[in-house]
Amino acid sequence: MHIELRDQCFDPWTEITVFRDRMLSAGQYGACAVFVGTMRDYNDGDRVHSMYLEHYPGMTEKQLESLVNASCETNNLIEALVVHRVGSVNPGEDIVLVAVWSAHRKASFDACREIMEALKSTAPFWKKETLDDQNSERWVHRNTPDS
Amino acid sequence: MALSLTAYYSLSFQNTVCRGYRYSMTINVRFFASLRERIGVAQTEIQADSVNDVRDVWLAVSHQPLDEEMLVAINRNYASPDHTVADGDEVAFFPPVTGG
Repeated sequence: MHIELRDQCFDPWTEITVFRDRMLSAGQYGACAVFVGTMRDYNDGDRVHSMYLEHYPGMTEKQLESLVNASCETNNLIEALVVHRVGSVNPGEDIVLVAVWSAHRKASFDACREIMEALKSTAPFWKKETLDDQNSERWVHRNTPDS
Repeated sequence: MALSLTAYYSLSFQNTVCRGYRYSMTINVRFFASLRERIGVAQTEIQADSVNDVRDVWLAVSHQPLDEEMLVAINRNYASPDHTVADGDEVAFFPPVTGG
C-alpha cells in the first residue's frame, strides 16, 4: 500500500506503471481497477479558473492510510496506490488516483469505488475555487455522495 | 548559559504554562478551511481546566453553539462533540470535507 500527497502535477498512468513494476510480480494478480479524478473548468454553473486544495497535515495521511487499509482487508487486495494533490490545481490536472490490484475483478471494482467514496466523505481536504469572473473565490461546500 | 525559571519550565513541561507553583495545561485548538476564515486564526490555545468536552472547547473559542455539520478531530482522529478533552490534546474543527 502506498499513499502520497503531491503539490505538483503527476501523471497517473506513469505512477501506476512504476508502482506495479516495483511492487507486484507477473502472475501475482488477475485484476486492476483504476479511478482518476480530474479538475473541471466549471462547477455549479460557473467557470472555474483554478483551485486550492487545503489539507490537515498529519491527519489527512492518517485517514487515507486507515481507509485504504480497511478496504485492503475487506476485499483481500494484493496492493493499493493512492495519490492526491494538495495546493494549487488548474483545470485539466489530475487531482486523485486510486489504483488497486486483486486476484479477481470484483474485489478490484468494489475496492476502487469504496476507497474513493470513503476518501470523498472522510479525508480532510477542502477545495477553494477561484472563478473566472472577477477572480472571486468560494469554498466548495460539500461533496455530492456517490455521484 | 543559564536558563531563566520560565524558560526552564517551558522546556521541561511541553504545553505547560508556569504560574507560580501551579502548572496549568493547555489544549491546542486548530481551524481549517472556511472555519479558519470565520474564526480569523489558524490556531489558538485554551486552558485545559476550563473545559470538559469538545462542545466546551468550541464554545470557549467561538462563543457560539456547535454547528451540526461541523467536523471535529482530537489528536488527528475523528471525534464526537461529546468526546472529553485532556491536557495537551490537539482539537481541530473543520467543515465537511471536499477532496477527491
